[in-house]
Amino acid sequence: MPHITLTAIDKIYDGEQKAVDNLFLAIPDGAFMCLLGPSGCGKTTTLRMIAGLEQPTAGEIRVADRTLDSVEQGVFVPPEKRQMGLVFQSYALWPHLTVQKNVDFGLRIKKIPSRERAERTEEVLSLLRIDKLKDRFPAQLSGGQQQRVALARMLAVNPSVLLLDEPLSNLDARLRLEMRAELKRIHDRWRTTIVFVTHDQLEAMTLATLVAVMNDGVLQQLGSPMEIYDRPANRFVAEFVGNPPMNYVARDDTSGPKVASSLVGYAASVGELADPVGAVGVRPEALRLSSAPTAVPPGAWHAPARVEAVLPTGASWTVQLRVLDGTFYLVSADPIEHGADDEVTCWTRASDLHVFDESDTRMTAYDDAVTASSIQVGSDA
Amino acid sequence: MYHTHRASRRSLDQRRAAIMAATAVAVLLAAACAPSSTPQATADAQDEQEEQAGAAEVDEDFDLDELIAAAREEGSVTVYDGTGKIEQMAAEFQATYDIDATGIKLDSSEIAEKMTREAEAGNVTADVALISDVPSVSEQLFPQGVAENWIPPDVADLVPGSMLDPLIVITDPSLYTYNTEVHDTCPVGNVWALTDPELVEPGGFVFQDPLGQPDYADWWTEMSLHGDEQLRQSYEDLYGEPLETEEDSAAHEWIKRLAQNGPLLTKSSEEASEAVGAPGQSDPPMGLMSSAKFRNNDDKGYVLGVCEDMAPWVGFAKPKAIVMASGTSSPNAAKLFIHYAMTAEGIKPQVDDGKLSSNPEVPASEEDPSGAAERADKIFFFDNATVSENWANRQAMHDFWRVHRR
Amino acid sequence: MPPEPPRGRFGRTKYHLAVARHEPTKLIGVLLAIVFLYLIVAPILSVASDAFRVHFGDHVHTGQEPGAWTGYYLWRVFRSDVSSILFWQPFLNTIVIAVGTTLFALVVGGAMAWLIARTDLPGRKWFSTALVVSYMMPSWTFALAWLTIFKNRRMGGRQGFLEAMGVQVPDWLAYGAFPTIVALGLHYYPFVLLLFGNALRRMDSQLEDSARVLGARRRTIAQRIVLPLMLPSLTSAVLLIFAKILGTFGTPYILGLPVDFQVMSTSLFQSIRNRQNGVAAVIALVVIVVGILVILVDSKILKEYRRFVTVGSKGSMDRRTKLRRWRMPALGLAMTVFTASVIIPIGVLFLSTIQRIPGRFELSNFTLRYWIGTDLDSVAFPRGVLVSGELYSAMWNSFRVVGLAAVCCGVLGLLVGYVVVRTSGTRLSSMLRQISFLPYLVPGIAFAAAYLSLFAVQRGPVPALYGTFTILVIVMVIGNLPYSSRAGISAMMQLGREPEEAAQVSGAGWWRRMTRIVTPIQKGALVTGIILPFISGLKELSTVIMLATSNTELLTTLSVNLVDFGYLQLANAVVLIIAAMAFVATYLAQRLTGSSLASGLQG
Repeated sequence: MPHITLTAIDKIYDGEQKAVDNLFLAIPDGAFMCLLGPSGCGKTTTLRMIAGLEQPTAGEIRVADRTLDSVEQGVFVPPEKRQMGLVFQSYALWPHLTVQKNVDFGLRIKKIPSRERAERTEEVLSLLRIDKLKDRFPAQLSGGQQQRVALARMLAVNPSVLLLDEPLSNLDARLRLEMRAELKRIHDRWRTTIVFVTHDQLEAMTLATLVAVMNDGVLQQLGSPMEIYDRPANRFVAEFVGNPPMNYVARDDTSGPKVASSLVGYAASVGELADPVGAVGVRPEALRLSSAPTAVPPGAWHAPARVEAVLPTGASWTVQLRVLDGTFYLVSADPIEHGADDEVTCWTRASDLHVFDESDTRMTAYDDAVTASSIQVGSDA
Repeated sequence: MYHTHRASRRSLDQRRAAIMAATAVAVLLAAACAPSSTPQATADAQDEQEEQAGAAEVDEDFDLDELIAAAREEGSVTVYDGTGKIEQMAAEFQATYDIDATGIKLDSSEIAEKMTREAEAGNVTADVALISDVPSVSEQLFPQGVAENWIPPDVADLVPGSMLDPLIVITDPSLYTYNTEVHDTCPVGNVWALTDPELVEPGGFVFQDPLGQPDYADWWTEMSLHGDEQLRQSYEDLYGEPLETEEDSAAHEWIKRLAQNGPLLTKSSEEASEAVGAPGQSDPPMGLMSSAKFRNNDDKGYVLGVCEDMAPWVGFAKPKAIVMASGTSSPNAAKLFIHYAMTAEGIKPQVDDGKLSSNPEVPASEEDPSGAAERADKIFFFDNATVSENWANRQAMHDFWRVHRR
Repeated sequence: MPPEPPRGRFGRTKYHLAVARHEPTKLIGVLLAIVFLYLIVAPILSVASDAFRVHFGDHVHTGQEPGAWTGYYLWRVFRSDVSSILFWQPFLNTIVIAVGTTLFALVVGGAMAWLIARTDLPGRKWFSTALVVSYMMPSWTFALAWLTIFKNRRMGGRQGFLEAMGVQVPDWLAYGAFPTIVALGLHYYPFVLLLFGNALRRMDSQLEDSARVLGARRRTIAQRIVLPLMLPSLTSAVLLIFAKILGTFGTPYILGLPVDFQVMSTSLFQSIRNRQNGVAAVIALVVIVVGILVILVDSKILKEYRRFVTVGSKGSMDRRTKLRRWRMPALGLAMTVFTASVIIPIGVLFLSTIQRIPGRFELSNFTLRYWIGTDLDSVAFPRGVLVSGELYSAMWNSFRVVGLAAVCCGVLGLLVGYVVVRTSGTRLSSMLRQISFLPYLVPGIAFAAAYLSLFAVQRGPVPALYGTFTILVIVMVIGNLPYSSRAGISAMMQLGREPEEAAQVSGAGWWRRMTRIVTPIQKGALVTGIILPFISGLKELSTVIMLATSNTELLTTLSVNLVDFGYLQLANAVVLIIAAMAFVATYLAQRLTGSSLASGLQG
């Protein structure tokens, strides 16, 4: 049974264009849902609407059996009655209260007896490993510590839903990693439904059980991180998720017409597609290099290429390639033996191609055809 | 896309224009309803005006004891005046009659404004007012029905007829003064000398800014109406030839010449008294100031002296009216206070400052250091009969001053 | 899929109502707007309508019946033969004074602010409190002090200090525009000091550093980096000073009269005194309109620069410029300003309270009897101010009335700030912001007269408050609202909405959010919003006497009555006590709450 449902949500700010456009979203109980998208895509607005801090222009928001917002039926539950937790990007700690009082605030409002409150506060503080800081004021804390207080404050009231608005964006890389693990730990322990807003796709991939990609107020794709990664529903998702981004060629591209027609032609013939192919994408991780065309597995797409630069990161190697007349990026976990200006062959498997139609929507017919043929042939381990 | 944008923009502009127009209308409507010190021009006001006009009747069967008894029933009275002495008067009134009395100092223009607004609203708190702007009393407060005149019958026959409508409670003499430390006698003996740069150099005569108060303009109008002959005579006495002028009166000519001779102006009479009377000066100016300022001789060691031989007058006495609010809830207490203010003990705090009671039976104060009362015959007094001319001419008189002062 | 919910206008309306019920900001905003329309806009309209209606007794001039619509007053002020004397010349002079004073205050206040906030000036902490004292004294004390020193023979009377030393003081130095500018500038520069100093303190010195790294010279840094960042605080100060000076009456009148230097406020004063209410209303309208123009310019500039301001509040480094060999000269400069703006006026005032006969410097002439004597020869006030009961009862009354008004004002200001910021971008928001500043521009006496009409009888649900303690408080609250609402708006702007939303999500209702989160966080702004009205309320006079019908003696009325009785020494002692009271209140409030007066005048 879905826990949170958003039905036909519109949000229009005065006179401006739609911030959220006809959004349908179902967030299952216990999910770690991530709203992913570039800034201004409507993800924060969506989160704030769930919290009740903003009101949809049309549509309905429900949690379990309870209607929180229904513009059409005139139902509105104020934020303070929604029993959610929200952690802000800026943390929004109350500067005039100590850490302990910040955490205690929500419990006090719920009129919980003081003993219970003390226990609960203690518990959350030690869970987040900030019990030693409880008498400090927010101004005396580091960014990471503030972040933990903000989290503790919301966890203390044991919310049915925990909403996080880009909570890690102000932290340095190491702290961010640490907090990611922390969040995961909390989610595993409490099984709270978490809705998380970020523009960082890595964060989304590592944390979420479910990702909703949004752009321009419109939901682009909803699925598990691997679904999003493996089968992006359209060009936007394909290009937004993945780092470095997917190599993407469109049929009418003027920057690399030769490589485009090669890939498009290949996809059309392999997939035996009736509809015209609009564009083809291939992830940098799926590209391979060979010294000669002979080393390419049979049936795979390949093309001559020249190495332009090799960029080792320590754990992997990124290569900039000139493939026919286009520029591609390749990521390899194995060391690259080629140097700049080496002439090589670049290839990839049919199953690693992402094929889109003329309106940049994924052609599932291609995926079906390739899956079917690979089962038939039994190739491709 | 562009066109629709333009179109919507235009419709927005139109809407905005419509809103602005509506707002403008609303503002005008609101302005029409907004409380204002201007009366609504209605027939009622006209009628009232006529009714109120001659409200200076004398109560024939007057009995002071009855009045006191009735006033005690009412319990309290609030009195406004332009001098702080009103507090003392109110306190003494309360002690005398056992009726709560509050005296509040407020500028005469503010008293008039306050009474007008209170009357409009029908919520009267100022029961009695002593107002030095007499023309505003008879031209604004009486005809609007804000205030009315009540003359205590026992003084009706004593007070000069020119001081009955409205009833004048005191007159406030302003006297020509000089510095007695530098001069043995007043350096000049004729008001025309003050206008002559050869006799009194520019800056050699100081008085309060005549634009800051209506007193001077009213005085000038009164002089032009009732003092023409004396002024002309003095002119002839000084220069040996009759005055020839194209102005309306000798007074106008005098004012014009005075303005052109660059007298020094001050914000208050107090400052004028300092300019003339502060000791240790080598070339002090002469001045014109309220008789009350002669107290500074004792208080501050000033050396002020009255120009006793100034012709044709040693100064002028500005009248102050006493009226009761038409809508007062304590009319008897108000009347009792007016009666009290016309008695010697009642008005004493002000007489001590050199003010002259309009009741000739009130003796001059021994404390008055200016001795104004003794010189009363050489002081120019106003006539209530021409009070409306004062009012009508006030603005013209100020403009006349402004133009020649340049 | 659940069935399609029924759609319709009804549901939508019900939804908005439900939202409004739980989110009272808009509702409060609308209520505030209604209250302000009644308490601010209606009185102003009433003043405005006086300019176009024939007043009683003026039919002689207009030839129209009283109450009829007329253009006579406009004609008289703007086009008649005397209009140049009555209006145009005073208007020009007013602009000169306002611009001059503002510049003077900017230079003095700006220099002091920089020395205190960004250098190692000795005793800067002390200066930051001491220099503000000049705002706590009535502005006419500066005129008084000026005349004591610079007066020349033109005015007669006691010799001026310089004159006594044999210096011939030229008229331009003694009277007219120049001394008026200096006297008013010395009174108002604390605004610049507070606002500009606060902005300087908050500015991130990394911003300066990064410019310096890029090779910018100091002057370039000042012009290109510091100044644009400081502009909002500067325009705020300019607005507050400029608008106030338009209506300032005492100082220009005292210093201008000897040389016939007239400004609009003196014209206004003369018209009111002579019962020429129509002309007075026209001039008052001009003052208001000029003031509104200044507001518009200010808000335009602010809009241009607002984007910068929020940046870089974090990580600001408290690094000061080393003055090195300029340290002592700078100290000298600060001491000079302190002497001119605080010591001399207070000194002159104090001297006047300990001399039997003013201006006579003989030992026998000095006395403390006006402070602590018990046998003064005056009948009404036989005891020195410090030992007479009247002072303490007046002090208590002042404290009660003004204190209550100031607290209401501070709370209301914060509420205005809250609504303005929360509904930011809407008409309601900009309307509240503008209206709440209007009272600053309206001459107090005009407000008081209009209030009298408004509250003298019951009007609809509004009871007749005239003559009550309440109306005194209301008029003081409204009159000083501009300070508080500015403090409130700027503070709420800096706070942002998230801390409150965090509380909301935690389950706190509106009231609890306001009392437990917003107000405590905004303590500093609240204190500013209370203290400034308190200071200016203590000095207030005409509105009080006009509206108070009881004999509640306040310090100001006590002082005026003492003048009236001729006890100038006692009167001046009371003025000093007013200043002392303002100072003590400010000092205590700052100490107790740990906030600074500057923390939010900007807005």
